[in-house]
Amino acid sequence: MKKKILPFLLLLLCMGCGAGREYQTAFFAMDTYMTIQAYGSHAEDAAKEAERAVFALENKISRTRENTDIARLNAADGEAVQISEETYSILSDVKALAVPEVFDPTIAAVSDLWDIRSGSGHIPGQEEIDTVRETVSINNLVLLEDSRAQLLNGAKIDLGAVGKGIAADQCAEILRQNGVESSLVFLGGNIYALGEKPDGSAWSVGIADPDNSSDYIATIAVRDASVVTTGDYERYFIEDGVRYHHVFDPVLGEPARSGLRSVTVVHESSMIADARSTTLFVLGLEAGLRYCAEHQIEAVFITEDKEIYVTEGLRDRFTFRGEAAGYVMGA
Amino acid sequence: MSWVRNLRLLPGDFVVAGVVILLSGVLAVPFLSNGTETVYAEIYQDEVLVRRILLVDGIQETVMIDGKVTNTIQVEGKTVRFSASSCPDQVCVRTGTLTRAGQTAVCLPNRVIVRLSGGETEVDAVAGGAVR
Repeated sequence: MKKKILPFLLLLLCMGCGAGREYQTAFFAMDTYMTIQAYGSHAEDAAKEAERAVFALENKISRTRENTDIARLNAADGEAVQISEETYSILSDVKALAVPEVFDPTIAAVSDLWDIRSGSGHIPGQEEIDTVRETVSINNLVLLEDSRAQLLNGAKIDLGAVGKGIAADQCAEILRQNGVESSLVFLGGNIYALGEKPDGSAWSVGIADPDNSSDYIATIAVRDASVVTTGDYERYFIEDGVRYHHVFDPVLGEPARSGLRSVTVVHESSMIADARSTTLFVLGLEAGLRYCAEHQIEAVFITEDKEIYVTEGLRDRFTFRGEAAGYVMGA
Repeated sequence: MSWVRNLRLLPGDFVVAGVVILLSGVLAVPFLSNGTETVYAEIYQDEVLVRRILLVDGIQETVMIDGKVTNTIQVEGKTVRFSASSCPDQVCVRTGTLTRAGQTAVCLPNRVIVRLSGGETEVDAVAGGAVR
């Protein structure tokens, strides 16, 4: 009998050691910092495969790298270009997600003119703005047969508003296919919370304080959902007291001034969360809330007046934490 | 309690049991300690930990990290921040002051990550933050 005691005690000691095996990978891609944290016996292989997928995607849809599908399409001067089936499928999705005069991925020429991402941005002349904004229209993106695409009227594509979302969806899919049931994918501020935490609780995702983005003004409890924020606070320059940021109004050809500091969208598709956070940021609070109601989008809006508005479906998962930083809940 | 008598325990069994209990206690210490008391500022470059500073009241230290650009990282009491950077976009400086365990700030051009570690964290990640 006593011989059975030692193995039993050792078993007790080891319980918990092997449970929830964790693996985390961290890497720089898509001009940002990314981590994938996964749990379970397949965590390491799955996370590594997901990381490789992010780099592979970047090599297809980046517009700043040479010879990607998007770089070749932008440089083709209106000619039809053969692209990969994956990029073709992404462009097809992007066309469907475009919202005329609000969310338009043919915004690249405007983005290049303002050059905000480089850190040396400046206010362009109105004539220059007028010239480039005329190129912006999703109708200028033509998808032809046999995975060929064409850009008309000088339009250029920038998938910056959906790229990390597409990558997060691909990571989540790869992790699931590999049997991972619990994972947190963090792609430079875009989050995909797969399943739930190993202890069975929901993932707790903070919403960044636009005035101090390392801190958060609220938390949202999520399971199997992506959380994506679009804000004016990371890439911008200030001239004469005005903040010029990287989220553009496609009609005006200049940074959107909608009275918002950020919009966070929670959605099972990270691509949709990514696209709609930008859409809602450009729309502003009132039109944005209407859009959410009409399209079943759940979002959190932070206004320039430090008011926070939360759509109905998120309220029971939302915890306000912004009092000390001067935020208040909107009516 | 006849099943206990039936075990017919020998002195060695008590030694084993004692060692197990002692080990359990030792292993539990890091989990029982109050995490908010011991917070470290960890500075990584290219995924390698280059500095780990225990944050206590009154501490002041400036860390310079060279690479593609130069970062100046300021430790002050229980807070840390990128106080200056020679990079053009200044994203790291704009991230602000880290005050809570789990918070991070990053300089992309230099591949430098500053993280507050060691305490309890309420969130698993921050959406819209530069880093998790």
